[in-house]
Amino acid sequence: MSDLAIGLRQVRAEQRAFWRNRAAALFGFGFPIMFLLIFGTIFNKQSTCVDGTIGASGQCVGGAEVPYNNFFVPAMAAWGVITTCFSNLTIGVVNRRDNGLLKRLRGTPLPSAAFVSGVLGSALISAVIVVALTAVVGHLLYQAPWPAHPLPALVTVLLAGLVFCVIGLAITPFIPNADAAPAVVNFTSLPILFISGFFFNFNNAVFEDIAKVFPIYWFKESMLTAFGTEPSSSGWNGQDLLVMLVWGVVGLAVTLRFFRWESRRV
Amino acid sequence: MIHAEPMPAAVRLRGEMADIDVTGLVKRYGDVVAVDGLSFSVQKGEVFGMLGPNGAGKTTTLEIIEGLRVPDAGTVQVLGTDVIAHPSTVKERIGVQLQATALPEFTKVREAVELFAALYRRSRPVNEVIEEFNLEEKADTYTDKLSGGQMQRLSIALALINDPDLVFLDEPTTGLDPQARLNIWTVIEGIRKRGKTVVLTTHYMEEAERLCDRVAVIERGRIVALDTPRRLIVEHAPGTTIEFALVSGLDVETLEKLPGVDRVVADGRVSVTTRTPEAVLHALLDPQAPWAAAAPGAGGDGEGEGTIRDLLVRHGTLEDVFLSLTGRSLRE
Repeated sequence: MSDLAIGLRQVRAEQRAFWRNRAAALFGFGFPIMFLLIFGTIFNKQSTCVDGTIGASGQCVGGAEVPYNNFFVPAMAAWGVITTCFSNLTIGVVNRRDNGLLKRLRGTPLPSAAFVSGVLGSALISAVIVVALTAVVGHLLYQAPWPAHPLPALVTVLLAGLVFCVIGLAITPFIPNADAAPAVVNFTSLPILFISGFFFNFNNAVFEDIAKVFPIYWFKESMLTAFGTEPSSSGWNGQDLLVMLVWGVVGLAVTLRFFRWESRRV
Repeated sequence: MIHAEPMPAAVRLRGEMADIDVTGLVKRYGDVVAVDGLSFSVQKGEVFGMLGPNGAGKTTTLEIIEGLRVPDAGTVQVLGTDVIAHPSTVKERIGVQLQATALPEFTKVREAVELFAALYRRSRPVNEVIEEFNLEEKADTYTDKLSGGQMQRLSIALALINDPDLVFLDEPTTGLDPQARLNIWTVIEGIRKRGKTVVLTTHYMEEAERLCDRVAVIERGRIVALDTPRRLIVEHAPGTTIEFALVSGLDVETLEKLPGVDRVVADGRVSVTTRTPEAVLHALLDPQAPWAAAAPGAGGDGEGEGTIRDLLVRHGTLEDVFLSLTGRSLRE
């Protein structure tokens, strides 16, 4: 069997296990869709200020005043990518490290690269599905526009998905055991989501400056551009993608150096 | 795939080479020396056992031979290939069952077998393997819904999916009930009948005695004895062992002075080894003996303090061999 065929088979097996694992499916899809339904309904028809500051009389300075759901749909789609690629992947890999499956697979001729491709490929498929689902729900319920720039949107989702998968792999060696994994992924992602303005424009420069260190912020920016929420002629924003790429490279280096295939000896 | 590995193939043709050849194996974890200079060979078609308590270095040794770990020193030839230099060549031809059952989650039995079959260039038909391990009825059951014995059968089935020449079983029956353990023993005997070489680790002496052609007794990363179970027993635990609970008025020194007693080990219970069991028993149970007289319950129901209790007379076992070689019990 060729390496490609082995990789595809791994992707299929991973996808099958993902959809059978209700906790993973819920984690990946449930949160973004649930928040879309709650906040989307509450703030439907209202407007928000993207990429700007809110002035004393409430006007949007230096940004664009857009309907709330035009902003919230791509933001929740981005969160869906983060949950499927970062959160789920990390929890799944740590689980399998702790129950010995990773080590068991190392005892077969399956190349490490084929195993990792299976995990990544499956996460990316789930990510594309959650983005599509979010866009459809947002469009049907809240009249949010379809992505204005489909190709940049797809490239952004795939690139960000890959980067968050790699960062997920990179943090697994620092998660002591499977019980700790959900806490670690939530603790590392949720605060950054908030300060990056995934839900509201907090209008807080300090928060925003901190958020700008992390790829989550740039992913949101990139999604808003590709979805046409922020004015852009092409839908591409090189700077956003570049920051994510740098994080991906750092993640890859950490993974290659520190990744463990088995839990620490007790 | 074409790639030349000059020597091994030619050597193998002579048919004299051992399936496993380990020399001077050393593995350290920080300051802890897990494997301390092991050397041994395993011959083709042999069932080779590694017996020792937890932490003796059995699993580490096995995982080095399987290509999962790199030793700090030593050489390992598996099926004529240097496993440290060519782990994937070796992995294609061996079967591995790890200590943890390690089955894929959210996967049915048949799917798990298919998944592993796809990992090898050459593998046996999935249905044939499922039938062989009596898993037909469970073929559509999720792996986490299986009983402990069924999980272990599946785990061994996965280790045999590539029809390997050499199979590694790490504590194949630990944690199983007696019925499931017997079942796994039958499975392992079946593997042996097909001429495969089996290396297994265990801390159950009856398992090693029943299944293994040769046993390496391992303690603190070293082989303290290596032979057939029978010869190990004859050499290190000859004669008959009389076991009982120690009573007041009867101490190890007194026992050692009894005529015919070769050795006394007090390890919770007392084990007296002798080649003249009749005479020793007679002395122990003598109603005129000081310890019998001292016993308040003597002459009564035989349960009173001071009498010899929980008496067991048996031949030597590998457990005695281990005790005799190390002064420790296997399951401390």
